[in-house]
Amino acid sequence: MGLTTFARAIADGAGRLLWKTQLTLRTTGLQLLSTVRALPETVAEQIRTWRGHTLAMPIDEQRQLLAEFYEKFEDLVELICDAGFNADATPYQARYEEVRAWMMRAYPLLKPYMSAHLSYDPSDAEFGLSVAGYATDAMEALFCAEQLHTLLEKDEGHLIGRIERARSGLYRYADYLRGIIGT
Amino acid sequence: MAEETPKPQAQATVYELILYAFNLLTGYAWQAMGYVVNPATGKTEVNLEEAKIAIDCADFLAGKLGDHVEPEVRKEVERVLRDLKLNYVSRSAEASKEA
Repeated sequence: MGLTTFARAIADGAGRLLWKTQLTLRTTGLQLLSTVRALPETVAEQIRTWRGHTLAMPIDEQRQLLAEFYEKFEDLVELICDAGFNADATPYQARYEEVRAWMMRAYPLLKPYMSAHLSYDPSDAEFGLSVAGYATDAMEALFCAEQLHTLLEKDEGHLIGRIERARSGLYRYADYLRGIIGT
Repeated sequence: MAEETPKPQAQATVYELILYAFNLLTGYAWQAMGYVVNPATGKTEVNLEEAKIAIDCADFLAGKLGDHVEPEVRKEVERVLRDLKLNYVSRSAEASKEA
């Protein structure tokens, strides 16, 4: 009886050890794989640093992204204007979602460079807090709401100013980039 | 001395007429929203119902311009329409607050 229990305990222990080894191997394999996958980017960054460039987005890429972003921004403003003017956001919701998804992806890339050119107003941050749960700048406040009608209904007379602040920020940033390229 | 023959005047295209009507309507819309003084009375008056009709008609006319005008003109037309609509929304919000 004692021998059987002992043998069972040995077998159980060996099984656990085998399982643990398998798990460790799998985890290590996955870590290795993700490191290998991330390698090209890391190498590219390293080469950039060695060559004396910063890790920041190159000016040409910033300019290209800004041009695309500006077009989408004007689309968004047009949607907001049309929905507000017709007092019905429903026909514009699908298009709003498309533009919003694009801006949600693109703006975090642009924001570090654009922040310096934006004018800030407490109403922008308050709007984001009340609609999306985080403080927003003038640009983010225009697409932080999931629903277009929320954007219009929660506006307390700040919409025109917000659009102007966002647009001026884009203009100033574009001027700044032009200045750099021109010199 | 030969008499000068009058030069034939260039015929305005329908798109030039549309632009002319567009400018008339947008001017009226600004006036009806109370942003511009009514030249007849010398006062600013707000009539949002008329402003909406003027903007609607201007929007319709802008749609007819299509690619028949210079891209810069088209952009300007779109910008004016956007500004008008935004200001209309703002004025409507103010009016409903006051009511």
